[in-house]
Amino acid sequence: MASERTAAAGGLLKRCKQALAENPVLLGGLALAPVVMVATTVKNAVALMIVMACTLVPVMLLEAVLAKYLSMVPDFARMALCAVFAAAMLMPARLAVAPLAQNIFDSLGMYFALTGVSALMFLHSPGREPEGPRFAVTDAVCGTLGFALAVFLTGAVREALSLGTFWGVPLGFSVKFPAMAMPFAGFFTAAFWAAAWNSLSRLIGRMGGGREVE
Amino acid sequence: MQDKELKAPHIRMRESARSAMLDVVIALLPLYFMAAYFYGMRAVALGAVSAASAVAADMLCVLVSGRLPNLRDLSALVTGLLLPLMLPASIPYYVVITAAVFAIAVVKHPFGGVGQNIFNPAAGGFAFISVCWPSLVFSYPQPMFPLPIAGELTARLAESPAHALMLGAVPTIDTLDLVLGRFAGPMGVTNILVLGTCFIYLLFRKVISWQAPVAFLAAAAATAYFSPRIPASRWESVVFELLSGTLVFAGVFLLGDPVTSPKRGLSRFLYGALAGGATMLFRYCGGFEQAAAFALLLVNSFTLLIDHEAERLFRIVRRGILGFRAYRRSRRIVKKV
Repeated sequence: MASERTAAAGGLLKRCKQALAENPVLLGGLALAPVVMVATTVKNAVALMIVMACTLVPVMLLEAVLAKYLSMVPDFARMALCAVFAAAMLMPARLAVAPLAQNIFDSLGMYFALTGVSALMFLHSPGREPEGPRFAVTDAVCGTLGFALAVFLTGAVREALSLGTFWGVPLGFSVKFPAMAMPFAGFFTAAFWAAAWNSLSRLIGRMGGGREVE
Repeated sequence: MQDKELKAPHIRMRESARSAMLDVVIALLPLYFMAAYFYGMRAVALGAVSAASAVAADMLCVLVSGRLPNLRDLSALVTGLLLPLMLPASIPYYVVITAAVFAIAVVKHPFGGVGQNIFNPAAGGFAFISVCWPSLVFSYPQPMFPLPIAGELTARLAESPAHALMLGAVPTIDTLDLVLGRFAGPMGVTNILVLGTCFIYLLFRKVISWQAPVAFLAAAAATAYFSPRIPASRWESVVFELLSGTLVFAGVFLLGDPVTSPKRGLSRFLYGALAGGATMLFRYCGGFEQAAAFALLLVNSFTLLIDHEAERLFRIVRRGILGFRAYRRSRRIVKKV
């Protein structure tokens, strides 16, 4: 019994490590659109994190709980049902995001809704690997953390360089680069973070003696 | 069995990447000389700062990527020298440094460095600072009023004739002044005579090919002729459009970049024509008066496609000609029989 628990915990840990090391946004290129388009400030980044957490985790949990019934549904219909669940979860997400800033929904635009039904959800769909709610939630949380990390890093750098602030607080930079708030800057900021993350993952893999992240 | 050192008949080529870059540097020197004549030693200082920044950024990027810097590689120096010539002599040093570092660290090295970059680094650097600080990049001091190398600038800044064209007005500048570069504009691109000489020199040295620049200028001239945006004659429209901005400079120095331009003659021609059309489109519909760099970046992304399609077109035409010849030969044989 104890060995089974240890194995399960080890499996969870491995899964969590993999999900973070193989960051779905920085290394997988998933859910890149909101990162490039909207992550121009830390507030926007935090709003995107909240939306992702509010949609991905409950939807994955629900899908795992109902896996027995959903297995009878064809793949395309299950994906559509996931999207409907996610759209329903946007309502609490909206309440959670609103206090961040007055014009936060103007800044997020259509990416508020699009983040809720991102490719991450379909990547981690438990319908493919029916391993139970615990694994589904772990996957969802790790995916959200990976997304949060990417969006936060990109948003922080772009806000610091374009506005010279962090969460609206001036950093005292005398030179600002307004172009960093534009989408093209989002692409190369995300690309630089991806390169840095890749190098870090390889370094950790080499130091730990584990396998390198491909 | 004894190994013998065989001396193959190696062909010793004088031309190399280094000699080509050196030729470009030599071609840029007269432009710096003219810039110093018009705006004083500040123009030279801007060039030196930009070149030093570009070379330093290049070395740093090479070291970060785990290689050793190649001291014989002059590509970063060329990028650094090209950038300030498209800018006003009054531009602050930090803007030039930003452009040079951006060109090398973002536009050149992430794609693989020397010989691998998709986009022209100098055009990328110029585009970035144009978007960041348009008021600094598109305000020009009057020529023949030397600017101090350091300290506060008190020179009165003016708009260039390209700005008047953008507003739909006819610039009040004599054509001779336009050719000689005696008007407020980017410090190294206004003297058309010197640019023409540089073009001939680079062409003679086989550093650039004629197809891309000629097609580029022809496409721009055709657009200006058939669709003038100012209330003047068609020829005046062509003259003002070609001589008032960075068009000729971009045609000679940016389009001729051997790394980012196509490899075949026909594809270079298409590339130049596409770049010329895109430049005029950006000028007519865009927000900036100097649009060649933006258009070039756009067209750079089609370089591989242009090369591929031009090759296919060339093969189709060749097959057609060969097929036609074979058909005529067979007809002749049939007639003889």
